[in-house]
Amino acid sequence: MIQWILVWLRELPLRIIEWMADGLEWLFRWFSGGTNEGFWGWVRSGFSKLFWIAVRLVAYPVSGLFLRGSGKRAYWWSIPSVLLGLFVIGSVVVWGWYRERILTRYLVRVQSAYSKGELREGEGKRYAERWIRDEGFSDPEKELLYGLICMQNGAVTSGVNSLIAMETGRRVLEILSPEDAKGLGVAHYWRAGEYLQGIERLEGDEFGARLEKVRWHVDRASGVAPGQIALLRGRLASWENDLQRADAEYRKAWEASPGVGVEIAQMYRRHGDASNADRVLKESAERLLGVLGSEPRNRAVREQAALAYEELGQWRVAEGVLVEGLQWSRDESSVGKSGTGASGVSMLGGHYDRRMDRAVGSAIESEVDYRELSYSILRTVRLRGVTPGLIQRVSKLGQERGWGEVLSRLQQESQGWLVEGGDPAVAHLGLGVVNWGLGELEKGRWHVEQGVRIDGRVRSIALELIDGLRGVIAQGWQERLEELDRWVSEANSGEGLGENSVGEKR
Amino acid sequence: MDRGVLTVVALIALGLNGRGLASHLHRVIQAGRWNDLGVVILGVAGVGIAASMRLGGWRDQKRVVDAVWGYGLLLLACALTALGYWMQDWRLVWMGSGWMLATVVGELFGLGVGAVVRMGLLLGFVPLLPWGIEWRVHEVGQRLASWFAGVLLDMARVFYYWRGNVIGLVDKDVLGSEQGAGLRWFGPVILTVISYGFLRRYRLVRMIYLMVVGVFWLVVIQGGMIAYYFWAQVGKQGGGSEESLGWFDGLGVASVLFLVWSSDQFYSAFTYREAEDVQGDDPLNAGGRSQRGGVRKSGSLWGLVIGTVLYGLIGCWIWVAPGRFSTLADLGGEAGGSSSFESSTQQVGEWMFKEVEGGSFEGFVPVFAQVDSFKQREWELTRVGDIQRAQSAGDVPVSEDAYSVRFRLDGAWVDKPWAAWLWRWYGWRIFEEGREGELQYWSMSRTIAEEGFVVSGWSRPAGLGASGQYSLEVRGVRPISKEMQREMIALYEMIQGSFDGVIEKGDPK
Repeated sequence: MIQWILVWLRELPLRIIEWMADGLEWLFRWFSGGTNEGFWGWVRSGFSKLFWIAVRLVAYPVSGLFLRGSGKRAYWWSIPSVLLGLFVIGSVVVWGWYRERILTRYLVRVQSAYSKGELREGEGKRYAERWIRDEGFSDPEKELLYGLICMQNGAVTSGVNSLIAMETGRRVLEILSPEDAKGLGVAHYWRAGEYLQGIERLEGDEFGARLEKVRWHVDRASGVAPGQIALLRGRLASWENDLQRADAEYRKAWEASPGVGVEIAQMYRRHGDASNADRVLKESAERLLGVLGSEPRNRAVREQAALAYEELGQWRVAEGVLVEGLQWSRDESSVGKSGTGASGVSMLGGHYDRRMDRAVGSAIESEVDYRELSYSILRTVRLRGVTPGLIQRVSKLGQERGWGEVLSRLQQESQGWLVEGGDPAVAHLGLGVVNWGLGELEKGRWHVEQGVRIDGRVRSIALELIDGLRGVIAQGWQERLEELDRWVSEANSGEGLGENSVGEKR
Repeated sequence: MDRGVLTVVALIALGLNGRGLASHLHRVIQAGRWNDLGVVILGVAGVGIAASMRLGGWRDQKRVVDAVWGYGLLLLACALTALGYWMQDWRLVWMGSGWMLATVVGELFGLGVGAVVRMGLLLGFVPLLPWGIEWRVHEVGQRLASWFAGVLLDMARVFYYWRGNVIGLVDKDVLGSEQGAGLRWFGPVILTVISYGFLRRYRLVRMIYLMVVGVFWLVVIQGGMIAYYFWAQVGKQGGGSEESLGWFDGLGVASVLFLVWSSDQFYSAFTYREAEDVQGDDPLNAGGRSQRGGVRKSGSLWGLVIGTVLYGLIGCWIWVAPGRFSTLADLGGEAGGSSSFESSTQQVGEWMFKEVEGGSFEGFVPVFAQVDSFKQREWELTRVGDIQRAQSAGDVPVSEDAYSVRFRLDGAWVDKPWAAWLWRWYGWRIFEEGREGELQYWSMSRTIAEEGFVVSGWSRPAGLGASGQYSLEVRGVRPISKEMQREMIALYEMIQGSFDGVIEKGDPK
């Protein structure tokens, strides 16, 4: 019996071919034989016609050669359309066959644009637009990439386009982290982080509701490094006043990334534990410096280290860390220009902004550190020119402490910087503007002239300042502003004097 | 007796329709619809030929139009005409009249049903190119052509993206708005193919086959042209300003017609029987003996062939010649007089207007524009509060929620298309349509985070000569709230009247 089964199985492939051949024969007989009456006759005749049309179509390239007379002429003239038609159909078939591979080509471009930074505005986003609505290809992970590339696009552009690109990215991530379904873990991670931002400004029920949302999203967050999830959990626990849990979670995050130390220190300070805060900051700074030793071009770590030192109150060390970064950075040629696009300069500018904020912020309750403030102004002006933020900060201080005090103290400190030789051109300009503000016009003019003479670039900085002041200065000062404008325009820039040359002192 | 009564009734009905016929013809001429005029000429020529063929034997002795057929056709024609009068749609009047004339000629000359049907189709063909839905024909055709162009570009490894019916290059700011403005050779090609089929007296199946292959080759060649245009743009400097590929248009039309003819040869070869060489039914073959017998008056037929070819060439020249497109573009860009607009309407309520220089990125002069002086203009709207906030922050003005609000003018249209045609053209999915009096509004969405809301209405500013479509559009990344929708409807109502006056003043043409 077994032998019979084995023989049967051995012959099975042949039998299948035999059955198929028999079936085809039966089909052909059925098509060609019998009558065309009745429903089955109609079906038979229909299929038969279709079958023979198909056969003739397949055989057409050869059978046409055997036509005669006008048929043969028609055959030859039909060749262009037949060949081109075959090419069109073939292209579409091949295209459909390789569709996945073609779209992957676009996907790779988007991934590359995201990981290396976009070369052109919106290019990565456009690569993604090829597949973003393709239901057969696009999935939540790819949509997430689209959202991220939009946000990256927003970060490198400016104005309306930047805002729209950022909002598009946010919207995509919101869609991927719905509040009534499972969603994508990494999008929930992002959403929880979004909800945590600005939570300190909320109160009462609003605070409670926001905290509940954070909790909901943190529970569903995944797809990122465990340290990052731990950081979110630590933040959540901190806002829930569960210090023990917060400490444990933060510790996990700190193990993975020493940069988290600043946040942990802030938590300790919020709860009045200054010694632990300083300990964490010191250790973080040391660990970050260790990383910088092997990765000196790592801007993120450098900024984290500087922040740790700033939090410790060691402003000079923080500045040193950032300045060292500029030496490593490819953007170092732009130092001294107001190129805000260079991220190294921007990083350092952010440092001075924070220092100014600290000085201005302390004006309400305590003594202002005018030395630190004047230094920060000096460096900001040299690095980024006169920004609206700078004017806004100084105006705020003037309103808080009175312009008389602010200007006279800045005059005093700027003279100190001039003596010490720190960027004399900008120091002269600063003194010129302060004297102008105090009504000592002759002195003011002389300092402005000296500043422009030492470094011709000071002229454009001064013009920026005048433009900035035009929008905010009181009506009565407009005439005096024109005078300042005239000083700058009439000042002759010296030749052969470098930026760091020490100018003549009156 | 029957024939006499029928003829008189049909002639009276025709006479009564004079106003409708004249009205439609006037519009056709005014709008420069050379294709439609061509159909009229072809129709009249068809009647003439049918009459001249009477003695030549081009009538089916067995199936002469009898009284029942005649009254049936006449009734149908009268119904169409009445419907046209009732709907104030002169195209239907024209169509009914065409059928009436065909019936009269058929009765008078004792022609067969086939001849009458051909004449009726020729004479009544004008409404088969209905302006109201023409954009849909072009939309489907353009979508297929762009899709095929995408296939070719993928094969050439050119990176692109689709925005509805239009292709854009990834690495530069190019949207093929002119190359994607509709099937440029649709009218001339289809008319030539139909005329060719009628001349050859093909049967219905073969006519349908010819039409299908005509559209197929049209889409393929148009797609090839789009692909070539983009392929030629790759690696070139500049923003890719579009230009008509003048000589390529001529080559394109000739290619399509040749391929249709070649496909017709395929049909002949495929269905070839050796007996046909002896018993062919080619009406142009004067030497051959027809199955239906009789000697052809080949002179008239050749005249019609030459006329058709001439008409096709002239139609192609007018329709697709580069000059025509640049003229349209110029008018679209300049007409309306932006200076007069700026001087009169700079602000409506708390919204400031600023005309978008160079027109919209997503805009084009459609091939199916119904009036030569088609305009497409766009203004950006910004809230005064947003501008002040932005000025104080030293930034560009944008609304807090990153919405952009625009007002645009498209037209003029003699027959109004579906209001959302342009947005649909650029790949927007339309939903939640609604009406409020004369206004239409709808929500829409495109890619994963592109949402929009449009309020649209029709107006008749004197400068345009016909209806212009005004649309107020708000776009954002989040669904537009109901409050904002209501605000947009109210804002639209405020600005429409102001714009009517401006266009009238700025563009007296």
